[in-house]
Amino acid sequence: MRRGWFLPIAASLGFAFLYAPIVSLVIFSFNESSLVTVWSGFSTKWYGALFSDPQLLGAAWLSLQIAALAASIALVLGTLAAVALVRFRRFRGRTLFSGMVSAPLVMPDVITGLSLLLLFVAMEGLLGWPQGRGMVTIVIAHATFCTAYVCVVVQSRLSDFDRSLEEAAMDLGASPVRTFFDITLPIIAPALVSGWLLGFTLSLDDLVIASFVSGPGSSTLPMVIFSKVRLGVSPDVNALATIIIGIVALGVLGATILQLRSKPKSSGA
Amino acid sequence: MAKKPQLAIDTRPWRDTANNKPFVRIRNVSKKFGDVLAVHDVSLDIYKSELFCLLGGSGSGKSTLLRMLAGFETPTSGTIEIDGQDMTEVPPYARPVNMMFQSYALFPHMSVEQNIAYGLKRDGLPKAEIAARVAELLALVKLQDYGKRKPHQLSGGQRQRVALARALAKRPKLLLLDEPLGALDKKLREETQFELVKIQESLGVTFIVVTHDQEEAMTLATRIGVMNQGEIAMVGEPTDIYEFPNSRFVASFIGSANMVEGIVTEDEPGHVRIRSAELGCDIYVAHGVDCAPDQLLWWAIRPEKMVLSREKPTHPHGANVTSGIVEEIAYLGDISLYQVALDSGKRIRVSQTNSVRGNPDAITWEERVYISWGDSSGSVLTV
Repeated sequence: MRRGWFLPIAASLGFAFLYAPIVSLVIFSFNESSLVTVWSGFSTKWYGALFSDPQLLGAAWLSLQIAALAASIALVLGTLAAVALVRFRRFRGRTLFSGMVSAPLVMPDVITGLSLLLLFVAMEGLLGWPQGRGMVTIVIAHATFCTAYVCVVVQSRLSDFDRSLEEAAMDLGASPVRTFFDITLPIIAPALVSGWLLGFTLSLDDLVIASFVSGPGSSTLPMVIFSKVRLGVSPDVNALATIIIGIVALGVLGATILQLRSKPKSSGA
Repeated sequence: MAKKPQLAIDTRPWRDTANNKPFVRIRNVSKKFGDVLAVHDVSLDIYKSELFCLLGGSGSGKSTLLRMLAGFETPTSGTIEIDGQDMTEVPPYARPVNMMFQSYALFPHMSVEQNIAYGLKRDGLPKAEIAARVAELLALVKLQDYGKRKPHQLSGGQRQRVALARALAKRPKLLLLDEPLGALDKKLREETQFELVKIQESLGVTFIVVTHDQEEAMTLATRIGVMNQGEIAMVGEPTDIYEFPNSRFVASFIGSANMVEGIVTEDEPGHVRIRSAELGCDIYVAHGVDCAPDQLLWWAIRPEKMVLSREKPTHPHGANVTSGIVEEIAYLGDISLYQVALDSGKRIRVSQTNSVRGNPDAITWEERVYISWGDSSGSVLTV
């Protein structure tokens, strides 16, 4: 086995490259010293400091609200788009629609943010809504790009869906609405949940787009952290980052597990 | 082999259309998908307690016809009546019809019991009655111990039986089965064929089965409707379809047949003589045929209806004997299949029963043989 040593080392190096920064951040969040780079002993005092910082807590609460709202809106819109794309194989402008739905996946955030800002400003001038920029505009902005992700996730699930299951339900006396709630929804539910979790995490993450479309008094968590870091890294940011990593990891893990579970199980009893 | 429902002549309602009302009445039904004509002007009467097979290749329109009966497709024109009621515009969930799907379409998130109970729950039956009915159906398909399992924990044959039980749960007047045995292996198919017929007989439900497998259709069906390119090519009992095909398509689609072209030379009420250059002899047919002298027509004969011999057999009318060289022999155990090249170059397949064990005197390769047949062994086909 000449390659016996190679693969483990390559894998360790790869993982180190990916996770060493995060691990060091987590470790330093328990540092006693107020200098970020000097270890002086274990302490949880920065977590304490974090929870007594109203600015950070307020931003965190705002971010969670925005993420939940944006993910929910995206879930509805993305699912509808996916249904249209999968169930109606041929309609005018299908290719255009399909491309437009997934465009936000590859659009640079700066452009998305800037164009949304211009749109909101123009709308305010013309329609008087949205008044100013704040939570509402951030939710709308996040919902737009999360919709693309939800659509992709739900689309893949729906295209595996055996239509004869719905036909069987109708054949047995269920109305189309009944069929949707009894059969379609439970079967695509894992994709819906993982789509929502994905949207939630992405929204929680976003700095660039939110910076464009937020207004005074509506700074999201990433924005607050970013501005804090620019004035010099304080260790309570490490603590906050550790908590966020925890939440995001849970979200991604949940989404992955649900995706795996939703795969049709292999046959054979 | 499955046993066909034993019907006395007088219980074959399709033989006495004057006194029997059809249970399913398909009248001039056509279905277009865009520009494609999937089903073209089909009219069909199916009687109560029949096991009717729609047989055809892929794209013959048989599945589309079945889906129109279930209500998943609406006919472009024509009407469908079930038990005297016009069903053409009735949605699938309001029809007294249930369907067993080719993929079985078992609900993956429900247990076997829940799958079977689903239709009964939609009818709002009381819980105790549903439970009793589910138990009865599980017993019918011999899956009493599997009620709590999920579909993915079952084998293919078990899933098939759950699908059947679910489709029968609501006691439909008419059960539609789309390739019911298509996904099973050969041995299981034969067993299941038998069970399917037994269940059909004991419940007296009318079955309409779609299949591409002619052996399956022959063993299951009381009558077969052969479909070709969206049209019904022939309707009849299995023996009619096999022995008395009405067209070249049916003759070559069902089983195997030797087919030759010929010209009518004698056209009498009691017999017909056909000259076939391909066959290299005259064909004497001992019954009248609706044709004209000098008409071009076709004559088809099954491989097992012909006899091979080394000596030239005599025929009173100097016909029905030709000769050729044995080209190929396929030994199948019970029978051997001979491919004989006639002098015209036409190849004829003849099957002979291997009634003598290890016959040393059997006809072998490169031998010149005579092929002969009875005066009414073949079918004269004008279309």
